[in-house]
Amino acid sequence: MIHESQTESSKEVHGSKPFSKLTSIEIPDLPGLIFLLCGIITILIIVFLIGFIFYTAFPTFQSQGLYSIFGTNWDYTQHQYGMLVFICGTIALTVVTIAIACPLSILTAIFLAEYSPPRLTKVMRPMIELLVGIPSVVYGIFGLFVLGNMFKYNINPGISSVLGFIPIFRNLQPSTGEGLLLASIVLSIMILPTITSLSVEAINSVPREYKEASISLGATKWETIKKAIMPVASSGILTAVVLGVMRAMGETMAVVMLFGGQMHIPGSLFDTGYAMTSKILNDIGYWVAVPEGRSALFAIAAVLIVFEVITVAAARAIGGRKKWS
Amino acid sequence: MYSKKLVVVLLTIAIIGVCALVLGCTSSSPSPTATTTATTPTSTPVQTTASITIGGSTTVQPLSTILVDAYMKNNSGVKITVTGGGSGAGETGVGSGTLDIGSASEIVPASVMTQYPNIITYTIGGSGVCVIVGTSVQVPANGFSIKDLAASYVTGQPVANLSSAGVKDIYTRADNPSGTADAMGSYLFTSANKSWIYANATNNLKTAQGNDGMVAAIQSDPNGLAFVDFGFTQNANGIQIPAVQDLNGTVYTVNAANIKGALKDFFAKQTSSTHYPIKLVRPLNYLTNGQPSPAVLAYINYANSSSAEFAYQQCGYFSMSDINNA
Amino acid sequence: MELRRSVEEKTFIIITAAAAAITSLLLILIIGKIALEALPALNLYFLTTAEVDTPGYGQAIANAVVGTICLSLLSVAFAVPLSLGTAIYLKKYAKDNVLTRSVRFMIDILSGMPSIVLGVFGMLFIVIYLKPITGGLSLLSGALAMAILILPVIERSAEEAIGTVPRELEEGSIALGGKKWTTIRRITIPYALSGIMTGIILGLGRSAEESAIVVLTAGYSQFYPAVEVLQNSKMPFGAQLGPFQEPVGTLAISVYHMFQFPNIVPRANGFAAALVLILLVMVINLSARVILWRWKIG
Repeated sequence: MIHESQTESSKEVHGSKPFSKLTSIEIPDLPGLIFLLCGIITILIIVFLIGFIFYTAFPTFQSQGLYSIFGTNWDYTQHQYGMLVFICGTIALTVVTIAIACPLSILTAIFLAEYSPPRLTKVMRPMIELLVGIPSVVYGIFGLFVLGNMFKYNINPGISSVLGFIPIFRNLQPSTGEGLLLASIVLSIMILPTITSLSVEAINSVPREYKEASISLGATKWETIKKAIMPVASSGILTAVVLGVMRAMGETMAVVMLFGGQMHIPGSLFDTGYAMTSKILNDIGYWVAVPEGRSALFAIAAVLIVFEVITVAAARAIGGRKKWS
Repeated sequence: MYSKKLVVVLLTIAIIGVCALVLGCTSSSPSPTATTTATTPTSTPVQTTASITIGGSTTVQPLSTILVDAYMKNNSGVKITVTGGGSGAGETGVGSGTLDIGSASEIVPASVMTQYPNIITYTIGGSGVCVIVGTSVQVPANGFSIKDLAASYVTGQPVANLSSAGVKDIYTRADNPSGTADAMGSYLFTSANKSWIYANATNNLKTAQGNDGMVAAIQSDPNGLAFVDFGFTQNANGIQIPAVQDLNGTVYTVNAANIKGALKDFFAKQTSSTHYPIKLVRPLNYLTNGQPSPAVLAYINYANSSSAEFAYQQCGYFSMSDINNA
Repeated sequence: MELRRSVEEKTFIIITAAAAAITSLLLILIIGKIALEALPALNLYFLTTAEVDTPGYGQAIANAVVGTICLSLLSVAFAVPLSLGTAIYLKKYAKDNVLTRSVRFMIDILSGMPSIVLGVFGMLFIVIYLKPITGGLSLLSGALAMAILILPVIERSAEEAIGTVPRELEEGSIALGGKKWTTIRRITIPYALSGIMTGIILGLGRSAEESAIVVLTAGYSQFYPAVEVLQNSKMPFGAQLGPFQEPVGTLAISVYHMFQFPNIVPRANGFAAALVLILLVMVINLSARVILWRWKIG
């Protein structure tokens, strides 16, 4: 039986797909069955992973209800598990990280893509991308032991004495350098390569005709960038930023060392906080063996998964899958 | 052709991997330059091959490390690894089977025993907990009263007596639960309320991980106040140790003799001691889930033997024989 | 008007150049500072002795280096068959419909999964529930959890690589009478091999630097991973198969120890372990980039 070939997929062009048009048999041959099995196992692993986490977390959601998301008290002996402090910690961390990383990486990307001579680009790009190769624990100890004292004695007091009248710049933790700003700065260094290289790709994929048309109309290079290139590349850049958000939200080791671990919502840039990932890491050692505590910590993990799925969906909606790398 | 380059890369990775395995199999043990054993262990070596994981209390951890180093020298077939995580992690870890020996610096609480009824406790020694403050604090001659300390921990802010001495920050343990913190909690509050010692949304306490982390926190924060095991205060500079008081206001100096005396009273099941607040001393325990295997039992027996004495002294703890002879 | 525009132009050149300079120099600053702090500890004894043979804590890292390499290789060994098979199936056999698109969505979700989530899953399911098979906190547990983490990395690179194989080559093979699997085996995979290798090496690098998963599933050991059979009455058959069912030490945990025990582990040692780890991951990543670069050029 000849199976009619389906129409060519217009959205995703992944290179050659000749077999859908050429083979007449639907059931794949033996190697194909093996590959199909691989695919099924992969999907089963993912489904099982997410299902297991939510299944373990379910009792907490059942007993706490909405309090688990919006409650502020997390106490094992009182059987109260409110995640709000941690959720706000993670959100605050993400927002400040993006605020620091975006301008820096997008401007860098513009330079690399448009202004930089090719030889300089060849040197700079690997140097930026090698930042990815530094493990997060190393960023953690770098931030703690190298930057920590700088922040405690110089940066935090310095900035807050100048800008301290604005609430966000008050120095609420004069005895430590750890806090929102330190953690966010280190996190932004971690996600810089991601945003930068994806933005460079986005800018480079703007059709040349746009640039040339703009130049021929008399615009300066910067105006070309501002008006012709950036709007077109914006979806790619936005995807890159969303990916950075995802990385910042899920980061564990560096955050647990640098955020301070105090159970409150950060009141200023120099205040400490407690992120969701840190709470799980700190407490799981003991509570994994106690059903109630285990369920509560898995509930935090479940919320993390939900955040991540939303971010992935947003990235896909903006940029399409091709942009991932 | 890329294939050559690929082959080279593949070969390199394969060679590295093989080297790694070979290194692992044929690793020899050069004796370290600094020895930790004062005497050779007299217990007969156990001829088994076994792998033992010890984990839990950060108080017991340095003790375990020294004991394990010495034990493995005479029992080459046994591989023992020591990890931390806090007393609570030790209790539940041994219960759930991830650890062979759980170490705890407290008596196993009833809640854990109901969940893991087969846990057996081997007490190998004892130690004491004390308060430490940073160098910028003017320590009063009589130390701080329980009332002041308790109020400071509940609110997270130092009360008048503390802040006038220069205390600005209060630290507790991040690893929850910890035997050291539990001892401090039952000392400041009651046994039922000892969980108030930990950080929560109301008290907003600063946290540090492990005994070592607490010391480090005070070393870098001269206006800080924390609590640690007494053993960790030896050889630590940049900290001060105030005297401790009991509920009657009796002042006790923090030193080894006092703690040892209180430990003797503790193991004699006394409810109070004239040497040191009895709530601040606690046993050091090795826990197993059910009957331990011969290899594990051999190690625990070694830890209790006289040839292991040196390790306790090195850490600032007290072995059972030391306490009984006090 | 002209002046404002040219001033604006020049200003932004400077701003963007400054941003790029900062970003590129960060790498040198960070590695340089770490290397400086690590210098006192970088000697042959530190690098070639296992921690078990030294007194105390954190005095040598050879066991961690070997452990990291073993863990990474084992994770890749677990992940490659699954991810390659999935990639080949998705690109070559499956039709482009809702099912495959949702499959790709799920793989995207896995690739963005926070490592702590995988870590706690590994700890509860692999370490505790599957203890009879994995030996609890062990090399096997760590590798299984890590394999889940790097699965999407390899899968995506493989898909991309397979996607760039020119149609003409494959169609030529079909025209010559080749069947589907033959074509894949002889045309598609060899052509895409560089890209697939890049993905595998990137996965290798990712698993070497990952710490949240390792701390919860692989435990820590001061010994080299060694092939041996140990007696353990709590395991099935009373035997524990090394190195797979035994805990394994990794460089990431060596570095983490510096954070946990700032007074017991000398500062230089922690930084030295960090430096060795950075160099290890960088060598792995660089080789991937070189392969990719050569492949794109060639």
